[in-house]
Amino acid sequence: MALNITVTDETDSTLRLNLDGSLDSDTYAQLESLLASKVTDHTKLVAMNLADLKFISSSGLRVFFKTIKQLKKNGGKVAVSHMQPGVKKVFEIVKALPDLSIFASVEELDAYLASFQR
Amino acid sequence: MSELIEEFEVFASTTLDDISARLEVLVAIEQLPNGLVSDVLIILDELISNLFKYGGGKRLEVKLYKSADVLEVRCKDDGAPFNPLMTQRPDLEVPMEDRAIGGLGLELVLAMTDSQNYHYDGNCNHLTLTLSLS
Repeated sequence: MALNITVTDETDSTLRLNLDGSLDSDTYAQLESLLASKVTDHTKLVAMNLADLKFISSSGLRVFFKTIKQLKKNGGKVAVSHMQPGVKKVFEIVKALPDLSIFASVEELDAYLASFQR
Repeated sequence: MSELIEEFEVFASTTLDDISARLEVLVAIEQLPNGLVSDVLIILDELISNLFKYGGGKRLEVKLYKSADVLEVRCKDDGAPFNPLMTQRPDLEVPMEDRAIGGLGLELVLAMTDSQNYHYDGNCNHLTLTLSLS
């Protein structure tokens, strides 16, 4: 299915994205290659707004797992906000929620980012 | 008694959109609860990516059967003999940094289905999964 990725903010240490659509075997490579081009050893936070992400399968999970591992190695984090119930269920099954920073709102995430960049 | 409600073939060129459209039709004619669409898509996405990426298969045949309380997903493919149910399961209790990235698809399939049955017969992999309709 289709996936639209928008980079909403980018600094040396942080990357913010909106994911819109479906992260599956047809589309995971789009996110994988975007992250490969933008995430460096200096990246401390990748924050993804998942409000418009309607579907995720194991191909999509794999990209999240890779990114979490990569960032954790350098003391960084992956944050998500606005997870829809179906997407959340998938993360719950593989017990990935403890490894994600989860934000309910853009405001919460903004506050967190502000503290991060200070 | 179970009734065949849908059958289709999946090739490397088939997209998940094609399959999603079929399932949406079943929802529209009240043969499939809307709540099961994403579960079925997650399952099929997993089988399809395994088959075409690693299994060397050309064709997957999917049949959906429905009885009063169970949806049965019968899959048959011509890939190399592969029982996905025997994949090594990841340890989900350890933090991500200590996990191997693999076996995630099987975890999803097991969580979303009530029973799973595999056999190899007639040069094809046969996988039957059931999902509860209630």
